[in-house]
Amino acid sequence: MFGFNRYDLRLLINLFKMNVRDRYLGSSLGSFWAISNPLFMLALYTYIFGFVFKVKLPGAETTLAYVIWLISGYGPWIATTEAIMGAANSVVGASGLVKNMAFKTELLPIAGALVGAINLAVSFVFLLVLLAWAGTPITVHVIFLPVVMVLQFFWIIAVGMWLSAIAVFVRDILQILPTLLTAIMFMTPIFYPFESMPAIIQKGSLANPFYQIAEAYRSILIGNEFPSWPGLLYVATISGVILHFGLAAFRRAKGSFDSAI
Amino acid sequence: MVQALRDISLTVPRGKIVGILGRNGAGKSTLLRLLGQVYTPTTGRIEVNGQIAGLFELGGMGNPNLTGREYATRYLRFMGVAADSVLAVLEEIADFSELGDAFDQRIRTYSSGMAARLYFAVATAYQHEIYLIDELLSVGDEHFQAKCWRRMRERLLRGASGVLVTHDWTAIVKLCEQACVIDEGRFSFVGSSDSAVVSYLKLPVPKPGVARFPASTPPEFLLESGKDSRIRLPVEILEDTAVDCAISIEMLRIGLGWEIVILSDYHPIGDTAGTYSADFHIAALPLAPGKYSLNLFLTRRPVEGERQRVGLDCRSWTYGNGLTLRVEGKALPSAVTLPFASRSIPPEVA
Repeated sequence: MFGFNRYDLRLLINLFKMNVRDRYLGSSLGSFWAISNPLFMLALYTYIFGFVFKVKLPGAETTLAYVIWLISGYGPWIATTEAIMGAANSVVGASGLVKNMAFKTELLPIAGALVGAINLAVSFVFLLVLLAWAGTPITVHVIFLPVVMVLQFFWIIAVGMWLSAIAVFVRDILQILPTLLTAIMFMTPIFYPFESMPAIIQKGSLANPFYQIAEAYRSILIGNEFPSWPGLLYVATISGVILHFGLAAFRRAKGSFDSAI
Repeated sequence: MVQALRDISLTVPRGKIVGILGRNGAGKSTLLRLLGQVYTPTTGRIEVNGQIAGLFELGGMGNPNLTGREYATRYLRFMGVAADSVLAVLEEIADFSELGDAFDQRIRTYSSGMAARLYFAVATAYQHEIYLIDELLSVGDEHFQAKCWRRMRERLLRGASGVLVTHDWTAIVKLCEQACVIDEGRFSFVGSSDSAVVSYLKLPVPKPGVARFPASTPPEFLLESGKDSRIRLPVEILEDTAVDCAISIEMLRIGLGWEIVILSDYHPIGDTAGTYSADFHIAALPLAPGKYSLNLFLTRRPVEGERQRVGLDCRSWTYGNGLTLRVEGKALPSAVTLPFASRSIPPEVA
């Protein structure tokens, strides 16, 4: 698929392990941070919005409902940020590997993006605790959670493929990316409901895959309904197209990586 | 857009290591990485038949926060070594690199020599089919270098092939039969490694204006092993100058090694113009039968206080104009036979 075979899968797993390990190598608590960092962020947001601001969703009784709603969008978003940054940095950060080893370098952004899966898992565990606390039942719809997760990473990998290759030649995008992601976060209804956004952004949001993914998670986890199939189909299609061209561009550009890395 | 390489054509036969000699920036490392498929060529074609181990920038994929053992594991896993055979190879690496307890400490605590030992041991631990080697055999102390050479030979004997790029011509002579000289991205020479060394060194042969070995110098001498021998050389002094002559006999076994076997002192030839003969006597020639290279040097006799000798003429394989020395006689198991006398002493009777 996309020019990869099962040997590449083994290499991908190695690269993924390498990423996770190298990231926290040298810090005394090591990979513990991979879990505790997102956990701390989620706890912080829960505290601020649940106990300090006491925000309530329109029509909801408790502030806990808002927190659950927030985390079901913000948790996957932490994973998205982590994954996009991981993918964008993947080639530049592995210069030693790229210059000294013959392998499919297009696996690097994929392995880099998958690091975000750890954050996603942590978020789900956190959310599960909140749901249990609120006594919200989990319905059969969760069987579609993996579908949304796969689509989320499919989309991130598609974008990351471009970003990782461009970052080799234009390092500046690594500087602007965190700010840009924050901007996208506020344009995607993550902190506030879709309905409270300006009408123009509402229309634009439908074309925003980040929004479609966030909505799908919320439908499954809170709305107890099936995600919007047209929305997910849209994400799958646009990701497939972007990845197809991204891979072609990456494979053409990688011959020149050595002169820029 | 800089073109690093042009018009390169190279075939490496199975079981051979082809040498590539070149100065810094000639395109050696680029060529090696192209062969290793780390870079993609803009034009042309590269065909590889076998699994490659690239020894480009040793430790390039390392993270100094890893321990030696972790680095080795990572490398092996990356090269696709199966998990169940990794353990055995790790033991072998720990043993070969002689790191001892340091093998389980972080690489950033290593000295550069220790790191080099680790990287070499890891990169060559596994018998690969093809080795691409960049300057690598200059790592560690002499004891370790000898081990490196032995290991590369071993790998070769077991059928590995490879390419060695370096600016160290002695390494080329030691490991390669065939070699190329690369200069500004092009091959300026392709052929046997000794000729490649000549082409690479391009040593300026002194202009024989003051003194010279005449054209009548025989290209080959024939001597007998173990016998008192004499090498007689014609020498022409053209201008009134004090001239000295020296010879060396070197053993050059392409692909295996090269060493100086006999090196004479400088002997005075004459002070005034004329045709002389230089006689070199070697008592009981201590050379095993075989082919050697004979090198001749003529210099101006240094005056008091002068340190360096001014060369007037030379014949040497490194200049591409050396002479051959053939030694005949009974083949002996040793390279050099010393005039030992031995007798057996019976045990004392109690």
